[in-house]
Amino acid sequence: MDHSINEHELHLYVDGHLDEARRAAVEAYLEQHPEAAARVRDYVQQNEMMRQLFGAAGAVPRTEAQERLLRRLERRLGRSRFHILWRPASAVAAALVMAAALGATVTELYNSDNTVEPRSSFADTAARVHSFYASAASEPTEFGADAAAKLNTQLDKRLGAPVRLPDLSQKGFSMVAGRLLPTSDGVAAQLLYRDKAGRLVTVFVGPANGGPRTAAMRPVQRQDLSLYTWLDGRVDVAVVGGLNGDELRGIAEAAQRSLQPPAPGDRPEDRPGNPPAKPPQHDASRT
Amino acid sequence: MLQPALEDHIAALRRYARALLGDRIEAEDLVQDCLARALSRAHLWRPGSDLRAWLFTILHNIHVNNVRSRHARLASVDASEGRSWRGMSAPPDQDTRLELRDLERALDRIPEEQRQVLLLVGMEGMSYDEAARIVGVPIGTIMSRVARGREALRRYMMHPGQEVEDDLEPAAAVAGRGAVRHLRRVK
Repeated sequence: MDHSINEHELHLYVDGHLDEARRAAVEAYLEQHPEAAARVRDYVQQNEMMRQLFGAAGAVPRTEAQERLLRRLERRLGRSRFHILWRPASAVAAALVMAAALGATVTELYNSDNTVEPRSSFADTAARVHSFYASAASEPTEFGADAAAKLNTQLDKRLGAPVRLPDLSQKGFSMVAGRLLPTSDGVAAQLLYRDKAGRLVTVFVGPANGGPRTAAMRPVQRQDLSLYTWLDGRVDVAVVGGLNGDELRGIAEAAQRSLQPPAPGDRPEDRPGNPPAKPPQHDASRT
Repeated sequence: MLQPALEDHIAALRRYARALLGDRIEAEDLVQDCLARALSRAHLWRPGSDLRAWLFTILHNIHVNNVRSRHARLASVDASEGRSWRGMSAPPDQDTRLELRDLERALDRIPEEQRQVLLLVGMEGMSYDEAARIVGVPIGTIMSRVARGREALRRYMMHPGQEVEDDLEPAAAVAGRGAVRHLRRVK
């Protein structure tokens, strides 16, 4: 492995623009060079603090003039052209919008003092995320296999454990969007599914708070939204949607089966009804 | 379409403008000008190309022009403007609040071309290449601005209250985000 790390690579590392191999090389270097490691930590913190400082400025209501211009511009550019699904480059922006739009959650994001009951906070966040994006969803679209694979890779990295994006096709739902979002316990993923009738379901997957543990599936009610939440040892999961309880429970159970860690000799890709395994490739195009 | 892409981009523009200018009203005006120009040039946008980069480039160019014309008017202007502290999102506790305020001040004190790049790359998560296209400089320049900007912020954060020496002339340090610093623009 190449151990020569230059200054620029440290910055590319900070900004997440290195591929797997170079990232590992930088990390090995940082372990040997505490001074560089301290700088990198500070740089990462700078990025985070800038988002904290200015995130809200993008999320407060637009001025009337901006609103008018936005609508006109939208018509001129043609909504159909904005087929921007999940992309690494836009993930940060989406997270910022989301963080600010969630209001109270912003405080939770950066507050390590876990006075809030984590399970209920996770359900709250899941409900808000679902409401926010469900109201924005208007046209059917496809979440391509490439985008899903990319999201999956990112999610595995963030959670530190391989996770399979749930396949809900047997319930008539296909994945139409996915995005990574900051939560009080780390980065979580919102996976949005839609059925032919246009109904939306969110599967919200986050890191299990405070180490591996489990909790059985249970229903939760948040305003007009029903949720089912559970902990499967590695991940905290909430399934949200404006469906009746029984139907949502069926979907939650399907998601739970999909998400379960594979038992030895029973790899999920061997089971029927699951999509083929994603190729273990990493996006190196942005380094 | 599921993600309100254009709205996301506008949120990003507003964040960026606010961080760049410091002043809320100025920032909203800049975004408004940017949208108006984008509308008048909508026919020039190539479908499928990067909409965010296009919008940021427009905003950047308007800003550069604004700075130039302000520069021309500058002779008689008192450089005490631009010292307005921005409101924060929602800092949870006192320590964090102080740290955020220090960073905000530090951002105010570094040269604008470094601040721009740190915001595009660090806050908005753009690639260095994307930032280079928006700002209109070679990628190597972006890299060196990132490196110098971050180091300057870091030094300031370690010794808040002191001025950042590197890259900053005394007059500019006093004027902060005000007009005088813009005189230093090379581009």
